[in-house]
Amino acid sequence: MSAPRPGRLRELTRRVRVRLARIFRMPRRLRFVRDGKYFVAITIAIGLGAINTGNNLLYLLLGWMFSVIIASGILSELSLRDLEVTRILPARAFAGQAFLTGIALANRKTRASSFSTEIEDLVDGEPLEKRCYFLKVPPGQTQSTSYRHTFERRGSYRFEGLRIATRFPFSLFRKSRDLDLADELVVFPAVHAVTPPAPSPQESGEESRARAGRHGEFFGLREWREGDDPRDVHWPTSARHVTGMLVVREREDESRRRVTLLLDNALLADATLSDHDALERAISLAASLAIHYTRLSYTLRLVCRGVAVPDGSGEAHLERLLRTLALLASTPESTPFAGHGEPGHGAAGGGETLLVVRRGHAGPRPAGVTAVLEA
Amino acid sequence: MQFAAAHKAATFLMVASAFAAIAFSGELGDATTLAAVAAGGIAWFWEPPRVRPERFVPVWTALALAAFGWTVLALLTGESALLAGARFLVFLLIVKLFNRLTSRDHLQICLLAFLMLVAGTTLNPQLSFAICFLGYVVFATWAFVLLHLRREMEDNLLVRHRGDAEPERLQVDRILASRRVVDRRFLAGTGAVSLATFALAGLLFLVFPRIGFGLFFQQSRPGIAMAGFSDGVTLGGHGLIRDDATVVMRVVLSDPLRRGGGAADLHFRGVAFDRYAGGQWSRSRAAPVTELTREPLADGGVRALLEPLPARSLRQEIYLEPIDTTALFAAARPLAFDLDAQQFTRPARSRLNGQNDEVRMAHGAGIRYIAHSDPDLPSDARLAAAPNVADPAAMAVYLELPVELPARVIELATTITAGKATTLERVRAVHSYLQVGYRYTLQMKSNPGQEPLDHFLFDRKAGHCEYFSSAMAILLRAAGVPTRNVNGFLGGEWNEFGSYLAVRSGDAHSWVEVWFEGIGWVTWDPTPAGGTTSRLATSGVVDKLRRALDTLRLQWFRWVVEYDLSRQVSIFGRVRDAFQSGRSSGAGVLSQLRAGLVRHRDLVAAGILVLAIIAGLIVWRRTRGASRSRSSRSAGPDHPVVALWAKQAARYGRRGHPRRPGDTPREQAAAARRADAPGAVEFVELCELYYTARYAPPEAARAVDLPRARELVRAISAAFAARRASKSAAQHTT
Repeated sequence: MSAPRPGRLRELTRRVRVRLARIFRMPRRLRFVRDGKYFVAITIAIGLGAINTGNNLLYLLLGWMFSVIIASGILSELSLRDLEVTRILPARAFAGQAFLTGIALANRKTRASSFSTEIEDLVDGEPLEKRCYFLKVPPGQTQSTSYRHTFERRGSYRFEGLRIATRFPFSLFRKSRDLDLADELVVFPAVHAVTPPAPSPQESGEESRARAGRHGEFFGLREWREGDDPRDVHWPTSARHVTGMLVVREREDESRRRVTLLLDNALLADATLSDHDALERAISLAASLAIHYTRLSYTLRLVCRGVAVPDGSGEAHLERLLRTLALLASTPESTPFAGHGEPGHGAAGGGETLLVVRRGHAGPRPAGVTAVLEA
Repeated sequence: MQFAAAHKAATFLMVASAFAAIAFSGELGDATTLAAVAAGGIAWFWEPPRVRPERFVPVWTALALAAFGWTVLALLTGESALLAGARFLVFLLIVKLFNRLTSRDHLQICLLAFLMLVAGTTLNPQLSFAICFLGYVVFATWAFVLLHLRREMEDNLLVRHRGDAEPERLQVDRILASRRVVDRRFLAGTGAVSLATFALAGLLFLVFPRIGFGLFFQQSRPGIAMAGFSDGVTLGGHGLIRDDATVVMRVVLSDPLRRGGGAADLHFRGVAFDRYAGGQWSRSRAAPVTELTREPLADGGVRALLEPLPARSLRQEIYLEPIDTTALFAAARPLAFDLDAQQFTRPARSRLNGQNDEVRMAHGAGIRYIAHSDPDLPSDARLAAAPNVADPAAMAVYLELPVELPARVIELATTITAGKATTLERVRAVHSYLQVGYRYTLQMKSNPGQEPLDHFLFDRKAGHCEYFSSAMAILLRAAGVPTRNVNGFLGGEWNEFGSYLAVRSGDAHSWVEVWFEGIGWVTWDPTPAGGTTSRLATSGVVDKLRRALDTLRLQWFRWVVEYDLSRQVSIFGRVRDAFQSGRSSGAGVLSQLRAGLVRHRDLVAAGILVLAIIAGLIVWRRTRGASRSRSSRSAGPDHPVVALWAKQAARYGRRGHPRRPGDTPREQAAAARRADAPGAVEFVELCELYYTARYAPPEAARAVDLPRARELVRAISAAFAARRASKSAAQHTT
């Protein structure tokens, strides 16, 4: 995860550890479960009893208990072999919101079924606490399920692999093996309902003109959203759409609504934990505003210190904005707002410029800001 | 098979195996055993929704307290802790069987059943334990695997996620009722695994080092079976001597010439008597105590020597059952006994000396030992050269006659031995006399008030071996020859499967030992031929099976119950030798194999027959399965009724009663009936047949009445034809 995490050394150490673990990892992991510990304890007790009494039938029983342990190892191995796992990550995931990850398990064995198989994702070297369970996967068949998970922080999460485990057949041991199946999920900042500042008088006037805006030049196509005019549906494209979703025409409206989100991501070198939390809240507010204005078909631009996303609208643009916000890192105050004040943007370019800052931030206010929002 | 049903069956079978392991010991008592079996049977049906077990918790709690109190009481009154514990285990197991609701209950059942099996290792070391153990291994494997799956199900892993909704548990009951988890392949696979674990357990059993510390207690080993043996001789009884086929002793002989029929004349000497009085033989106080010399053996055991061991002797490995005597048996003339070190752990057992050359060891349980004997009689020349007793006073105990012995018995002895100068001549004279004038019978009759021997010699002139031996002993004593009466076993039944001599209770025998000066005691058997041949049947299929079973018992006893460090070392040595001489012995192995096949051709034939039956059964099952699968193809969408219905549904569609999108076949038929379409009643019935054929389980689908369906189709066709005819008639009319 490349989200704010103090100390590059720690990150480097972690990476080295993960890499080394991958190089030197055992082909199988074997861990006692509770019943297995009891079983081994009883086996030892029976062994002591046999040695002490010389009762050969106890030796026979001891032999059987050892055999059970050996058979457990062989059967669990058979169950874990020749399995293929596919992971299906969600299209979008927001911090603090549950999402579903699909897991498909294919048993490539020709004769033996796989029983009692658990699959857990390995994220940043650690297994997630959520597991998928498959009771029985017959030979040559594939079964799918999903697990629900929530990442509390935004950022990029690396799904490095999967751990396939089983306690089959006797619940004595948990045998597992790790599969390399790299994937990445960018978790967008947490979003929530927002109340944007009232538009400035100038913007209000434009908004009244915007109602007739559907007669402007053709701008592009986008997916249907609640509130769209049915007359804007582009039927030929909708018919070709694989998911059957309606596609509408977007028109270039000369009087279109435009918002610039100016997010101050500056943090002092000695920033406290609460400062970091406040910045996270600010980023979350910016993401929420981005969603809000995208739904209202605004043209949006994101400007932060060191990074900016130019004007745009629609879902694809929102994706870019959210991704930028998901990966946004804090910078020193010396870093300027990227591209702010350029011709055609900000107050000069029309539209509103909303400055989103963390609560308690007392830095200089950039020019052209129409409203300041504290988080 | 339904998951729940399979789990239940496996659990009960596992419990039954473990219970049988202790029940077959007979220690639980008939009442407890029967009660437990009955309770187990009821518990099979004691489950929801038939019964709500939670309502009976107070009852079980009260019963548990009572059972605990009973157990404590039994311990206080001196009952063995193991037996009391085993009974309490049985009770707890029954309680759990009645209250098996969750996987946790099933886990406890598994644990209790296992503990019961542990108790069985001490209570029941018989062959029955082996069978129960095999059953336990198979059923426990099934039960453990199914328990594992059930626990995994019940735990929390079967969840389905729908959007942002909370995870939803799938119905465990639905899976428990499913037939998809436990199928034939599952049972066969786990069954094979259980047999593999059994085999592996056997292998590990052989290689575990047998180092007995014996820190707290030593295992006492009950014998293979209990049998009786009389440690005394009493003449004058009434009744019939019973032929008892219970094996009391198994003897593995080292001399190949003595195997098979060559062992029939071996007299296994046990007890010896010097005093005859009141029709009874006993040991007098004056009888000499057996003189034994002890030598340590390399394996830690002790060799008790009666005489110095010659270069050649008959070695006998003897498995003696617990019988009503402490005497150790060996083929006459015993020379030495090799005893394991374990048998000397108790001081009382270390006194081996009996009287009259008896060797005794207190063994309340079965015992294994090696005996060395010299079975060959001295030559006639040696016997003939033996002088008469030099010092009769020294042999007084063996020359003593009972005071109540009628004078005519002594006169008879004098008459028989008149003119016989040597001991051998006297012995032969008495022996011939008894052979000629007397017959052997198992019928015991006596004349109260008459000395039994006198009755035998002068009146009845018929008797069993004890009469003959007593008569010879007393007559020889009367003629001045020292004798003693010996009891033991004569011959036995040769077991061709295990290559050993099985000596049975019915082989008990009595004979005489005669003192030859300068030679010693010589065995002499005066019983006529009818009494020295085995009275027990040895041929026939049942006898063969009995012998095969006895072999199994012996092998179980030898290789499992009595398996020890020396045997382990010997096995490893043999394995090593086999590896070393593997190449050179290929031809030898083949010839041995051929000889073995010829020797056991009956067994081989029986084995081939069994294999053929098994193969036939497999083929039959497969053929049946194939025909079933062929017939199952006639169920579902390929069922002929489905095609019949589809044709009629299309016909109704063409005639203005189509099946609209979303309509079920039943709705189409109902609509046709509401519209009074021709043959609609039959179409409705055909539709119901279609549902059964298409969606019912294969058994029900195959039972669908195809002729009736065809009849309905004909009726529908007829109805349409009639409607057409009436319409055209109406058109003509207009």
